[in-house]
Amino acid sequence: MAERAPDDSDRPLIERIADGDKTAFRELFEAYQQPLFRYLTRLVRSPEIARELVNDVMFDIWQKAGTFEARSSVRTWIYRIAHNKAVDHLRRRHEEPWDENAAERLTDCGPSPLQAVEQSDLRGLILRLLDALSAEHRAVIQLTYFDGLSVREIADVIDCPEATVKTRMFYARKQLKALLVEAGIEGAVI
Amino acid sequence: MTSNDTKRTAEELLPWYVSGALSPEEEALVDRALKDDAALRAELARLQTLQSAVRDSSAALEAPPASDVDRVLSRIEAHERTAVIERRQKRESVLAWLGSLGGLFSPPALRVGLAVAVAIIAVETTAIVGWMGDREVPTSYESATGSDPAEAGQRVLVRFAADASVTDVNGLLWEIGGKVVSGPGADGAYIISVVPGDDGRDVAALVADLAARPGLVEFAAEAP
Repeated sequence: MAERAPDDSDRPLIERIADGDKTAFRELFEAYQQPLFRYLTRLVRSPEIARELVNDVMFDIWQKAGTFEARSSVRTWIYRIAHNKAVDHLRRRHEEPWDENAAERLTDCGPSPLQAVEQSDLRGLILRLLDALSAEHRAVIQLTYFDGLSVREIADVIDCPEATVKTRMFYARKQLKALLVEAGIEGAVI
Repeated sequence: MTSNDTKRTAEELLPWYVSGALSPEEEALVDRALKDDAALRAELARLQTLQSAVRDSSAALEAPPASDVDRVLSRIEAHERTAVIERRQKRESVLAWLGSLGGLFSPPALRVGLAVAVAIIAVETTAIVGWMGDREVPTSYESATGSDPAEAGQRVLVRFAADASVTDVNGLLWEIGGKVVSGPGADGAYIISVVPGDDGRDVAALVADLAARPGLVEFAAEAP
């Protein structure tokens, strides 16, 4: 099936950055700081660390702009750098980024999802459910629902086949449903 | 594609249908499946709720300050300064190394180098001359074509008279049946080979014959 054409509107910015244009760098920073911050916060579950990682990513972009080969869009290239930073960080912290069973440990701490719903804190519930998933599942959900990336683009970002992206999404949905059933609110939320 | 296959594919693509990230063909496939499947429509509603929750929770995050760009630019500039210093240090260390090599060609060192070179040449020259000195220096020429048949005859050593003409010498050689096979040597003598005649004359008789021609032959003897 035909893929969406990659968005390459940021390519001129990257070319200018490769030439040492700091004004172009400021433009790119402004465009990507918040989306990257939200993506990285979802992965590392710490806004403070995510902020530092965003700055590391932008520093790397300045360093690597000259090596950008346009095999993917600028956006997926930047997200891939960010994703790799997050994975490295989690590994340094001895967290397993790709733990398929992480969701099973969800209800071991804090108020239960049901209690959260009772507090009418739907957003808090969703955040807790997502945080309970493995990083690979959090990545696929965040890139899909918040960043609006296609299957192909997500595959580029996390460096895996498209079929793997679909499989991870399938298991993420399954785990979320299981958690909601466990909390007795299946169907009420998602 | 069967209806089950279509449903499975549509269900798989549903999250990207919600986020609007499908190709037109994929979107049409999901639209068709949704039309006939209430369960799929319910799943779509759940995923739309999930999407809203993800977007709301992400949007609720307090964004980092925009001034972070200045922090990163400061870091970049510091890194570039460090890189320049490192490059300069590397260049200077290379130049220092080259300079130490260059010291070998300074005047005092050059004199030493020249002395060593002259010594080597002197040793080589001595060796070559010594090798040549060991060789026997020929006192006569040798034909490159090897032995002449005339050499098989009687050989006499002859020094012709200083005023003997070429015509006289050639006449003498014709008369005795001889041929110059080498010479002149250091003493001006030639070695002449003479094919023995039918008359049985020996070398001594030949020498006596030659010596008896004082206007033409100054000295004659049997060749060694």
